Amino acid sequence: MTEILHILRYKILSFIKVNIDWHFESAVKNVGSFLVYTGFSIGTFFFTRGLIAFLLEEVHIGQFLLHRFISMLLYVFFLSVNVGNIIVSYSTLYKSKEVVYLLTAPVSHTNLFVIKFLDNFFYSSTTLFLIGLCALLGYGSYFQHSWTFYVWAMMLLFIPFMLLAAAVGVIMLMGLMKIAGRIGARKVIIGLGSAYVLSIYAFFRFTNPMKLVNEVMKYYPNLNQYFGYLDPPFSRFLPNHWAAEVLYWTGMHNGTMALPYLYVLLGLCALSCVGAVLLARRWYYPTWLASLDLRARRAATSEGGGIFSMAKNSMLGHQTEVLFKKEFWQFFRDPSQYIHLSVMALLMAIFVGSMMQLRTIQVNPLLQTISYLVIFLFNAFLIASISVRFVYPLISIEGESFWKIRSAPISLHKVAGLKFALAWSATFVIGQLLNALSSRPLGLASILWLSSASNTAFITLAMVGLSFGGGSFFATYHENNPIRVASSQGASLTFLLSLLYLVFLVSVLFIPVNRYFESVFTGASLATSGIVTGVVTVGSVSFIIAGLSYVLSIRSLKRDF
Amino acid sequence: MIRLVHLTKKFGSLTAVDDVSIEVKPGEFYGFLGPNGAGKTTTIKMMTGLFASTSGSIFINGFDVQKYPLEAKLSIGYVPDYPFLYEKLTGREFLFFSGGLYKMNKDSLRRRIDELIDHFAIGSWIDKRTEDYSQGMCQRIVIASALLHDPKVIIIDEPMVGLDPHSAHIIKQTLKQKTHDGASVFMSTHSLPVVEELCDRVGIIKDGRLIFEDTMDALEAFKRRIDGKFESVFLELTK
Repeated sequence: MTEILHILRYKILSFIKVNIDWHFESAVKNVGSFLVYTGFSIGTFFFTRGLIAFLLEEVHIGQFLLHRFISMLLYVFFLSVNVGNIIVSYSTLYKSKEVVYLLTAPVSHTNLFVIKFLDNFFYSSTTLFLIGLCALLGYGSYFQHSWTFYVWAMMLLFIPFMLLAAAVGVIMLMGLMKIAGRIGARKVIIGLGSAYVLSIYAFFRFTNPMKLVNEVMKYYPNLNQYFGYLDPPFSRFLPNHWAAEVLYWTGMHNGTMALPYLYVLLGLCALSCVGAVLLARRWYYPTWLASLDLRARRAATSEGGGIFSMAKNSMLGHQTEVLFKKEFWQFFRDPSQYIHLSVMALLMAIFVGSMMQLRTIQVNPLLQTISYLVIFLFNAFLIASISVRFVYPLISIEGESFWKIRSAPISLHKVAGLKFALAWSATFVIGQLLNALSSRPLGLASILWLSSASNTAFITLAMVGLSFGGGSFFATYHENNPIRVASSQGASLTFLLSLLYLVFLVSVLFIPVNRYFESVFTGASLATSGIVTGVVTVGSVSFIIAGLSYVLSIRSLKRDF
Repeated sequence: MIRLVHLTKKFGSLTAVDDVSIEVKPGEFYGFLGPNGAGKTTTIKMMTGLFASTSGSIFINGFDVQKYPLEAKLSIGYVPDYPFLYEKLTGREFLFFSGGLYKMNKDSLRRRIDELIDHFAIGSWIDKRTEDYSQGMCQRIVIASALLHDPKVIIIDEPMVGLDPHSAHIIKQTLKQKTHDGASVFMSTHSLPVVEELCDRVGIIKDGRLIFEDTMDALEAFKRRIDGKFESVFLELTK
């Protein structure tokens, strides 16, 4: 324990020294971050509270359905934390230079594992903690819970829930490393990917949210009763269900019913953490050696072939060609990149698949507006997530090797421009696909479809711009793990700015879209001018954001390397 | 040809390089020495465009590095103090990447890469990803990448790091040959024997200031006045 505390003390000290800097520029950054985080926290609070109020008081879905939706969200959240931890933990536990250093010191392998696990957990969870806390505050304030609720819900529910996901992830990782030593890394990765795909599919297939909603709605308006018998049996064994049940029964002021779920969750969390440590005592060092062996065993990679071969000529200029091909190979030879992209693509496919099965009935212009904007904003949110995850780290992952480009006779505008263009092109295609497929069920008129396609294009420009600008400004060349970069404080700040942009979108689009649907509903002449004005406004602001972000990028790239 | 004119670099209140003026003619091998933290790497980073100077100018083949960076860098072959490479690229791909940045034609680049692979005895490592390389192998690749485009100015920071004696010998011979071909070589190193073996002129920097600059002949005379050892001269000057 002393050993762990000793190492953690110096890690915290170095973190403080790195992040607390009294120079003017850093102070401005820190104050700016503080303001944005505070704004986002307040926004999350009011959004959560407002959403719960809307669902319970306007739509009247009842407490049970509300908490089942919370349960579904928590399932996706659990899997995200779990997968994210597996991917990040691989870098932290098996590729980190700090591990190499500590292994040469008289530090026990178990203690080393604990340090790196905590490092990983807290490094990648700061923003999630903030979001969780604010959402919890919003949730609790709606139900007028006392201050003690927030304390125990955070300490005994939310944190253990995340810790459980992380611990399970790390246990899985060690198991996978063991198996990979025998059957090879590629088969393991494919197996893991398939397992996650199946688990998400199975969850939504067997929980069947639509069926649940339909069954519960049969009792409308008497929805404030417990419909637990409608839950599929297997869902009762999932941590997201337990967490949702704790919240539900607490809201019903029935602590007796909530406690068993809380105990199970805490117990499983403790068991997982202890299990992870015990397993690490046996497996961490052997699997670390196995990871070295796996790397050494990788067959000599023949020069990347096909049209992306560095040796082949292309129609592009010399510099553009090699930069483009370097980006290509850097991305597709990094499992943390293409696996994460595949996972995100899968989640998007599930979202789009669900949307395409929707059948909308045009009754209420306000509901139509909300449906349209919710889908539109969710697409924008996905674009923001992709941008922060893949665009933000673009400069940082150049790493210390950036000296090669910086000392070469190539303009930084060309370097930045190419990266930006690649990022925007890929995100544009994803955005347009998302928009086209998710908007189909709404049966939009061509003016609305055209405006949402245009707005989506502008959104990708703004989001990619924000992420590229933020990633350049906050570039950390000594950290070239893209996931750690995308989980950093700078990335969180950039993501929060992206969410502010989403708020701007709602404020610009709500009224014109609502007026349009009202004009359709009443049979009046179609109110399209507002739609066009909205597109122009979104486009102008997006171009300004992208332009300013690009200028910021260039200025940042010119800093001393 | 390299010309540093009253070059200064400040980091806040710290003056890392203080009014340094150096000239390296074509065909000249210049050794740049100094204790740790003296300002050697900072000077080199300003010469290669990685740092902006606080004041003063740097001319590479007549081009001001700050005003005409692309023209200046076209003539430079740079080897940094740590041989960081793009880990996901193979050695061969890195060399193609480097050559592309200097707008080299593919066919000539391919030939040049094959020559350098043989010259530096890189062997089958060339087609493995650089994340699997030892430090010495990384250093060889970096040096090869610096020589691809036949630069007229070679700037090297600690070239012998991680190299075995055979490789070090090849590097020394290569650099010496480059000066015979008319290139200017600016080498920062801690290795006094390498300086004595290769350099035509030596500059010693301490606390950001150039405290000694002269030819190797003058240095020899200085050595004889003390105890005949370069190490003693260095220690005497930098104490």
